Amino acid sequence: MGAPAFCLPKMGRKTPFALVSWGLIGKMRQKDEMETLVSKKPLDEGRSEKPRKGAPSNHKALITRNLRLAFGEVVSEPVPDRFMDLLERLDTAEEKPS
Amino acid sequence: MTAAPAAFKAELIELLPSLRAFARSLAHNPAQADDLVQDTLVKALANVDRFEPGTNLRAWLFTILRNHYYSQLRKAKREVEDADGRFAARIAVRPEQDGSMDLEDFKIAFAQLAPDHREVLTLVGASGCSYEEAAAICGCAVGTIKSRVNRARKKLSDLLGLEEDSQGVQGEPRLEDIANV
Repeated sequence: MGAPAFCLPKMGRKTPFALVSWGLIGKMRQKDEMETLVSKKPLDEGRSEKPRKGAPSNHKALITRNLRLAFGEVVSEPVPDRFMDLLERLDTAEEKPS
Repeated sequence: MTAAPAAFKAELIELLPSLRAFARSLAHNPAQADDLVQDTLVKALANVDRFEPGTNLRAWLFTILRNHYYSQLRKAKREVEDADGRFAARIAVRPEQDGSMDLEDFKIAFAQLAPDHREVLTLVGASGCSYEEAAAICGCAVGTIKSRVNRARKKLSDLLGLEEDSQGVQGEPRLEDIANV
């Protein structure tokens, strides 16, 4: 019985489940309900309603930078010998029949 | 079976590093990624006569690797919601004050994306493929690639906790802040 059997309030979309105590979530829920009663407007306007376009351009740049770093890390690793060995082996295997 | 021409082999060797990097973005686990590369090489050499010289060898290899990855995925029928992606890494990753972020944190968030999102981000964002090349590799329309890239970036921004920063955090501490104390 691992997963909590309830829905988190909207604002908790990135909540690390394991780290949050039940009591805390209970409090947050109550608070949300209170706000709904009092203000009659969508919960957490502006925070839970994310802009539905793409990521802002500074985020794009940050993502692209990290993508390239991660990709570049692997590219700059030396190619394992197994691949060169494999190419050698396949080559000789292919040349034999002809 | 025709033996691979020397020029083909030379170009293939030159492309190995980026082929490995592409495999790594799909497979997460370096050993599995290199197995993918190995299978791709075997397939490429076995089908060398189907490759039209002068066309894009990188796209051809990436396509073989990708198709092989997805056919394995279908066979294994497990990994789309795979354990070392979506569930294991529920870590609140947030950028530093100066907007930079730890590369390892980035990789954790990236690993939580669905394979088709990891794939387009790697092709278009990192490997320098054009939208057209990426579309050819993934076997879909250019428009599909563009919208998939946008959705993938958006999703990754969410996973990285980049959203709040653009709007300013208002008042109340976020759950992560409380939980991490």
